[in-house]
Amino acid sequence: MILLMMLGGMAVLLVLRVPVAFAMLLPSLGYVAMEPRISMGTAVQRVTALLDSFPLLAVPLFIFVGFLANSAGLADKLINALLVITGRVRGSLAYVNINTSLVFSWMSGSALADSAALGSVLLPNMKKNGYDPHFAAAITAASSTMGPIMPPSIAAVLYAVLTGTSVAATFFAGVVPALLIFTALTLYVYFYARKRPELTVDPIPREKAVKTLIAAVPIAIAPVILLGGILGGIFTPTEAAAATAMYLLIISIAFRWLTLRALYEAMSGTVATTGRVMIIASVGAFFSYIMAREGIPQQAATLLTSITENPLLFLLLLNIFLLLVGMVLEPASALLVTVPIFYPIAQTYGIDPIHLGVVVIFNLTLGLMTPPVCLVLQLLSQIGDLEFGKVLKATLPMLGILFGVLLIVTYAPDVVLTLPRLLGL
Amino acid sequence: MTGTPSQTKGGVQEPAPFRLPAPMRWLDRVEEWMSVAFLAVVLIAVSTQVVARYIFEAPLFWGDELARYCYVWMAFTAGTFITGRRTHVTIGMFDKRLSEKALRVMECFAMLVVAFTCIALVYFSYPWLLKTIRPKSSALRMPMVFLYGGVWLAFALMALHSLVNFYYVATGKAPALPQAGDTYE
Repeated sequence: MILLMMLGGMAVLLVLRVPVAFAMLLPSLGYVAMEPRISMGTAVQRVTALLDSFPLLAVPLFIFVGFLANSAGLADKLINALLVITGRVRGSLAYVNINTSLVFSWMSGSALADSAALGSVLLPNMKKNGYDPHFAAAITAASSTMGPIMPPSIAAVLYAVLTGTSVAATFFAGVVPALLIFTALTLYVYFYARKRPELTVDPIPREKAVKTLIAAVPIAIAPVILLGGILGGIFTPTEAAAATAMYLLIISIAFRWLTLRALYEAMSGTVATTGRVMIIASVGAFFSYIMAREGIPQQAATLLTSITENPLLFLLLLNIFLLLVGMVLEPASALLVTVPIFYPIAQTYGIDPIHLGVVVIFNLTLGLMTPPVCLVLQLLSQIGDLEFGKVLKATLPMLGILFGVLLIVTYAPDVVLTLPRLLGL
Repeated sequence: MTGTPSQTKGGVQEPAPFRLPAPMRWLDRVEEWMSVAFLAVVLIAVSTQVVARYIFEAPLFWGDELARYCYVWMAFTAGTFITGRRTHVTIGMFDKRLSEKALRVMECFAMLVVAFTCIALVYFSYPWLLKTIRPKSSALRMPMVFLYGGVWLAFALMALHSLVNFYYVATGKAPALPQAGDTYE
């Protein structure tokens, strides 16, 4: 009964445009007021407790790495370098788009940040070279889904901390699924470009090509520090984030890619983004504390297992549920609101926590591209000054491909789990 | 990422963009500046810890705690200016289907909910907060009241921001929805 009132209250408040954090906080405080054994002090304590965590420190640091990469114009330099490599292949800019997203996904962990950084450079460039701008926006959006799935991933840090699994294992479980996306999209571009001989770029003079490639070398070192550091056991994910941020900061200042003003903007952007996510996270932690206290996850688990005992069917239901949630909430918030509720349920079905993590993150990331909200597509239509409906239409085939990959990832757990096992994580 | 929350898009003959009174703008600046400073401390503390461990082979016992506490303050200080700029994560999927007036009414209601929630939390947790003056943190030996008091103060400031914004939106001086460019990411 209390639960229904809390969830109902939260839903009503959300629809009435109350910010997500407060739509969760008010019903929680209502619960505290009715429950004499908890004091309001517990509320402040619980809200603070979540952030007082070393693994979770990775979130602002990875967000900062993303902002730094963006302000220092790393996207631009990477794109030029990768264009030299793919060069005169038909459809080269579309390949460059996917390749840059791949390299960017090794430094940044957010699809929105990636598509904003790449879209603003690649959309005008692709349009100028004869690509359908809607296709350009669609491929940018589709390839940006690698960002939160490939390590580092902000969503993976949140998931791992919420469920008590290893951040590093959740990170590397995403590698193969992200590479599947990469391969599938590359094939799509191959078939797309085959019928369009006009999609070429002018040759780049040798001297300029060498220069461009050399300029990208310092950038390529950043993912080595980050991923190599974690894999080699030199850094924890949090320390790896700090080391990468420091490295990018030093090279950006040394090469004068970054003014002090731009650095401050990157930092203020970082704290604003972190604040938005983390206020929801801390209030969500308090909310799920109340849920657990009332034994809600167990009750829901009993109810669900009475409907089906098949873990595959459960995963299908979960996929549908998460896609629906992902349609209205951006991934980080959706993750924070839903994981504490369904994680204990998934455990009763014997689903591997790390496999579950990748499925959840994949699902919620696709929510960024599915109507009605499609934050990534809206952002890209805004950047490219394109009609939203046409961008959506151009995205549909790629969305189909991504859903195919999602099904593989959901129903073939070994695709996800083999790599972390091999790495001994 | 900066600028007042109410900048209108760069149209030609739009009225002058709404700006909050100067004290609220200064408060916004100070909050942003403090939050950025906390981020800098987090970054330096974590990096110093790595350097101390590998280069000086003398792990810092306080680096971890300092970074975590600054993280709490950073997130909640950011929460205050986010409330002021009205850029909290909100479900806005019906926005396009609502009239300007309906949106204004809903925004006013939402801001009152935020203010009420914060005031209730701040008021009723005050007696508990006083009890955290004596206990000290394990590494820095800092009274716990600084950690929790920071969060408590942040909620108080969020209430203030919400009430001020409520006044300007309710009286029609501020636009119904903030025209912020930083609702993404």
